[in-house]
Amino acid sequence: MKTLAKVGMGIALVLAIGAPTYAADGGNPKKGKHFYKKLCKSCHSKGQAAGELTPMSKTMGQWDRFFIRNKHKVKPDVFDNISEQKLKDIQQFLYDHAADSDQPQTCG
Amino acid sequence: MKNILIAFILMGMAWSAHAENPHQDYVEGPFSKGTEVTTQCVECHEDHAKDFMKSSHWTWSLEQELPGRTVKRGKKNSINNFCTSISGNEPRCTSCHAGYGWKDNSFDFTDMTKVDCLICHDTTGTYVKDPVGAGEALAKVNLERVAKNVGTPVRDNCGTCHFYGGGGDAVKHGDLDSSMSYPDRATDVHMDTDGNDFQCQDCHTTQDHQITGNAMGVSPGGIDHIGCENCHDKAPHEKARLNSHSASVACQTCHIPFFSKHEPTKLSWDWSTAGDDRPETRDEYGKKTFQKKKGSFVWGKMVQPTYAWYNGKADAYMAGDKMDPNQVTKLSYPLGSIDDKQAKIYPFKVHTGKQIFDKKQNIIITAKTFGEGGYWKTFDWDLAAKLGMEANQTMIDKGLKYSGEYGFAPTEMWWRINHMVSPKEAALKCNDCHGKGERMDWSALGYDGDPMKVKGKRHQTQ
Repeated sequence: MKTLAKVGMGIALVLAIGAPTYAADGGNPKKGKHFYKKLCKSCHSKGQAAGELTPMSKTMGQWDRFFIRNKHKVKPDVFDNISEQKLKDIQQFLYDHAADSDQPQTCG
Repeated sequence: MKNILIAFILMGMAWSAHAENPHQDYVEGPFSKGTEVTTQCVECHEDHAKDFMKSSHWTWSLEQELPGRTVKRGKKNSINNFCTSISGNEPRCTSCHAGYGWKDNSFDFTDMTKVDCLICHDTTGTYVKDPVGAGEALAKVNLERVAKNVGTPVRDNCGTCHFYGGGGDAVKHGDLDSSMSYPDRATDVHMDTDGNDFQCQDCHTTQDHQITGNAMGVSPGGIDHIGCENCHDKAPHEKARLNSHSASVACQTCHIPFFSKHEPTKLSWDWSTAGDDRPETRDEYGKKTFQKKKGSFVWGKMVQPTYAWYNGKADAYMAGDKMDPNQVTKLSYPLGSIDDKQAKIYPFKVHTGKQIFDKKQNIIITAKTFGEGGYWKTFDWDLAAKLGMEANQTMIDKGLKYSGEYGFAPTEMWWRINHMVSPKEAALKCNDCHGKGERMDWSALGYDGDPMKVKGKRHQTQ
């Protein structure tokens, strides 16, 4: 029973959070581009200590894993200070223009 | 433990229904075409569709007064000096029609299932129309997701068409481009995302789907202008000298010192060089300056407006009007002069060009450029002129056909500059116009010289 309850809780939590099972889903890529430029590029531009990051820096799968698992673990407070919806928007934009997407972008 | 488990599961199910937007529950997909979505929308929103179908976003035509005549004019029948006319080119041009399937003159403007609700009400940022599909959505769009997430328009929605007029970012207006989706304060003090964050409809107030505002090209007779005074005082400055200027100078003149602040806009299009067999060229901005299909272009960034008197009314060339190929034909232009009490000095983008006209009849030709037999496939102006004129309802109604002889004549099109309002510290200063300032061409405006220094002709404001 204990194990069953744990499994059940797990399923319930997944449903409750509505965690995407695949690819950036539910984000607005147009807003995402704006937030990416505003929130990410301040550290992730050429010459900055954090190193340049563009949508093309990762594949679609890599971006998804970054947002679902990694969550900016090098500096978690960065993600903690961005709302869930904004993160979704950014994830969607980066996913849509990743290295292996239909429209890879360097974005500027 | 069991109870807790059930509670969690129920919570999860309720959450996953995403009930925050009621359309999540009402809309039932899947959809393969936009009209299928609209068919569901009008089950509840029939009145909204009917209202919308009265608007120029649907009709692309408004009855309006031009000097000496009442005309029906809009994108449907006006001639510009970019791609010139939609006649015969519909599947390309009508990719910006808020409807589905306007392929030719047979489009049914009474069919409400052809209204495209999603282009204005998409909140997912994923709804894209096929650029050559007569207004249909791209096949890759998840119509169900878009339909379930409809909401109030934001700048991105209006910008889908209005930022990309002329077939690309910033091409037409000069003061509307992709940088206005999420502008900073220096770009637009009203729409600044970290400040006022105005959406388009904050100024373009809308009732019953009738959106206020008229562009000069399509609605020169339109008097439905958005005034700064809708929000600001008539005399808003601390300095009396500045307030006294407002009788003769529009707010925009000082407060929009430049347009196309980020994206280059097209300033000239010469069709007469189209067809030349020479390589494509690009300018300092990376923009094409010659293309065999289209001819020669000039682009500009951080452009100083052209200033002219404007009394709120304008005139325009209508299809079939006689023109003089040795003169610049003004396709749309402001009315007013220094002698006009109602007029103020106003900023404009002036787009110049050379375009095809009928040498025997002295009328501007609306050539077919896009699709089968169009110039972009055949490079045959005679055929393009014939097909385009035959597809133009106005020319048909007036009994005008292509005579068989064409030439290229100079044209001019005036665009009002109303957006990209700069912060007050970046507004024009006295010396930008007066003294050594060269902003104003005083003699072209009807003065005898800089009115601060030279006595003589004055704008009569009383």
